Amino acid sequence: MNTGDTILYAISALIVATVVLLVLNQVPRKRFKDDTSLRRALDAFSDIDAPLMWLLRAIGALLIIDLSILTYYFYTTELTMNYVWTFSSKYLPLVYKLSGVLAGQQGTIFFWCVLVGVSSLWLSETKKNTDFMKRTQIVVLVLCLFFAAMTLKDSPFKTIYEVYGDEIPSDFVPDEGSGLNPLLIDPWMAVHPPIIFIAYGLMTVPFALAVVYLYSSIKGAPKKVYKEWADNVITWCRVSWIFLTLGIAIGGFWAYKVLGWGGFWAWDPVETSSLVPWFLLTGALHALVEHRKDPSKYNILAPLLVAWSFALIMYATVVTRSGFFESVHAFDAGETGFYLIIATAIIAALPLLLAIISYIKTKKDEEEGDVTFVNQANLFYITIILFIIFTFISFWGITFPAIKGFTSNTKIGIEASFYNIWSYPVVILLMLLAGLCLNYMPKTKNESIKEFLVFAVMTAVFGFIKPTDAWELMEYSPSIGIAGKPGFYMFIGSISILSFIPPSVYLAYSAVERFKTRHITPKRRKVTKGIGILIIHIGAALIVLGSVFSYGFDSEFPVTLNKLEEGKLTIIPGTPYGVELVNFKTVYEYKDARGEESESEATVGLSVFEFYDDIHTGIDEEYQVHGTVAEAIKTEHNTYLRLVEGSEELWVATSLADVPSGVNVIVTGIVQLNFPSSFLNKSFPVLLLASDLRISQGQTPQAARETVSTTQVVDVAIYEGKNEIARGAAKSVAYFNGNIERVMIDRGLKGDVYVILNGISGNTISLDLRIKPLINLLWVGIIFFTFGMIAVLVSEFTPKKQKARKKKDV
Amino acid sequence: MHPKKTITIVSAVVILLFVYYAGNVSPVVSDETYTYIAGLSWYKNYDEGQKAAIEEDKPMLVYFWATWCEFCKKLETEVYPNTQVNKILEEDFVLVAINIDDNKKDADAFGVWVPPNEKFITPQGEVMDEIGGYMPEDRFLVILRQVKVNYDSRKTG
Repeated sequence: MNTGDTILYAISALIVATVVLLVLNQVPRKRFKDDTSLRRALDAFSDIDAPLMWLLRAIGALLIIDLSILTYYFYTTELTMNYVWTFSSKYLPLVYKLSGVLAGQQGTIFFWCVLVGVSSLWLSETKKNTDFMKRTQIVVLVLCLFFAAMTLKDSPFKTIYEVYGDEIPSDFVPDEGSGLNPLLIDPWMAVHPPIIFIAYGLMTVPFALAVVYLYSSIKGAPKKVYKEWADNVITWCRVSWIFLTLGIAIGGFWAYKVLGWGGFWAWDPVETSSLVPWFLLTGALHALVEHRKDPSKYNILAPLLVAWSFALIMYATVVTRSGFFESVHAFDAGETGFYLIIATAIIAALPLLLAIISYIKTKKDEEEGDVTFVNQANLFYITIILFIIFTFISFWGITFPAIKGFTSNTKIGIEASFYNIWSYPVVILLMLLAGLCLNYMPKTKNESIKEFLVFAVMTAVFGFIKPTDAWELMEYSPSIGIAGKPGFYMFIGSISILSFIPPSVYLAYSAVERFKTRHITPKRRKVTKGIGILIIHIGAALIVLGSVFSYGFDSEFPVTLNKLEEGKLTIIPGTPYGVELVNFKTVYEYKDARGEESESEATVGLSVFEFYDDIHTGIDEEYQVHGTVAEAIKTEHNTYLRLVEGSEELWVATSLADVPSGVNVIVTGIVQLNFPSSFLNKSFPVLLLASDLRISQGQTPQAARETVSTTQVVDVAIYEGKNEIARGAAKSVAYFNGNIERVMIDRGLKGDVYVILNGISGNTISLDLRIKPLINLLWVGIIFFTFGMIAVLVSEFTPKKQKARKKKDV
Repeated sequence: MHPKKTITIVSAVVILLFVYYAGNVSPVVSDETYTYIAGLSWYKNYDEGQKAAIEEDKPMLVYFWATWCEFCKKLETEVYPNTQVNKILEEDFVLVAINIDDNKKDADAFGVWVPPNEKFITPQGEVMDEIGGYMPEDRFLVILRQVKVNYDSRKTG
């Protein structure tokens, strides 16, 4: 067996030992009579703090060592490791070699396992080992064991000899790996998976805390337990939320930059599945804040939402990895998917069961309390419910087609319009209500409600303002399958995009008002927290506006340019926009000169191969071809050159010139078929009559060097009227295992100018020009989210240190 | 009743209504026999398409696609729904859409593993023409008309 798996087996054994130790420690002693041998045996496990600490340290350390081993294999491109061979290559830059660790299923499950183990260690190192924490550790460790078992089942540590057995010779070492999917060769994609998985890993702890708390609350959780639960869970949830937010946003940013769809969000099942737990976690955080102030509030709902946020994270993994759901993220399926589904079902059912029992047992304690309808508690409850509905809509969008497919062999198409239409009323209501809740004071109740109503009416009025159809949310016409025109969809679709403005403004306004009335105090802690809450909610408004406007008013124009017409401005008919081709070039990146990119002048125009490929489908007016001269013949009036590329050759006729053989030339001219030359006394099936001949300076012929990638770079300047509004390069990069487009994005306050290089055929360059208004509000909103939450976290950590200092002083 | 209970019950009803309504109005992409693309019914496998083609004496357009294929989406949203293309497809062709992931048998039989791929096939199974990849509607329309003319001239000739 290989080293990695051996260590993982050792880790699993240690986890089992730790769990057994913890269970023996936690068995209720009361059930056994004193002085029986069993009781005495159990008593031996009543103080386990020291061994527990060391066991957890050993597990954490071994997991980190094991992850380092896997990372080292990628660092050195150890191609005899099957996982490295599948997802890496020697020529990749270091950062992308390392991102190979998370490029496949085996690596990500293992990484998750490591994170869970490290979280468990963190928990034990930072908190006292109370009974509540020990029980939490049991749940965390069982999950860690599950991920360890999943890793061992389909291990990233297997050597190619273990995988392929007799199919390959025992001393076979591959020259080169399969390489990373070109789509993943991007700095944002290098950080997206670890950040998402850190969020996923961290959420294990809140899940465990929630399950244990729900279990304790069946018997009426003591105050001490409540405090431990409430103080710990909120911090873990907040930190996970930051990572989850960043992970999803970076994924969206990458899609915007790399995929060339022109969008950051496609409601693809995998994207959606990561957003579903985010919605619920956001709702859970709101419930937790209230629950922490008053244990009787959301006593069951808050832990249930936390636990389900984790269940939905597991569900996201099922969606990505099980192959049960079709999606653009075409990852491999397998048995792993089956086990993930079972685990997810248990993880979702267990807290629900505990919550139901707890609800039934504690039901009588529920007070009638305030029975007025409009009060802070009810309004807040509705916002949480809206988060749940919001979560459910997206959850149903990915789940319903699968259910329908299993039960009736009918495929249902869920497109972006499904999510957009159903989310619309929820988002509008949520923003309006959040605005009301943020600024609600029992004393000024009536004023708050008046404000709310003003904004609600404005929302409705703005919904009708639409100078043209382009201002409508969408024209509902599904692009797939057969469907009617359901009334609700048509109605929502016809509402004006402007209806998003009043709720967004109200949300931001209320957040500011709240800060002014409640958080301007001399207490630094309260101010910091206030700033955090303020900018998170402003961030939410910005994200809504940025995404809605950039999609709603997005405009797209196809453009074709001629490679040979540098400097020419092409006006797009019917628009104020024009595109100038500034420069076209091809850039090679060579394997033997990692990092040194060479721009080869000799590749202006087509190679001989490409030339034949092009005339095969029809002959253009003019061609530019480059190649190496193999033979030059001078006649009275002309020079005939034989250009070669591999086995292909092309004859070119130019005006008299001295061209030594072996040099690279670029020729421009027209094509003649069956051209007779009386001087040479032969007929050319294909001849290029060159009007221009350039000898390129001392280039190494490209065929002699192996390339990593070939990039076609189109430098363009975009004009609106006479003003240049953007400039940059749209690129298409060809790797041996696929192509990717690197779009040109020129960011601006008003929006982005976005150019995609669609393709080049012969001398024709086809581009897509897109104008994306206000999209940067979205990214600013994400930054606000992150820093806002960091401010909230910071505000809670400071006083603890001060407390400790105070204690010392005393 | 306590307002919270009312809120809970109302929201549960809202969710149920959503499930019911959304379930009923969501577009059907395919059922037992057909896949629905661009408002047209496409047979899901080649044999059934061929039977229909023999009966109707029309050439087949066999379209190989996959859910993850971006250019298939482009074909389905830009080319096939085009009014002229759509009319010719509906009237003059028997349509077969083969999901290369679900129907490996037919995909393998024609050796297609890169979608999209469109083959024009006579009822007798002879491939008359094929397009390997995406093609914009104007060029696609030319090919459709050519195939139609060729097929008709074969019948008369």
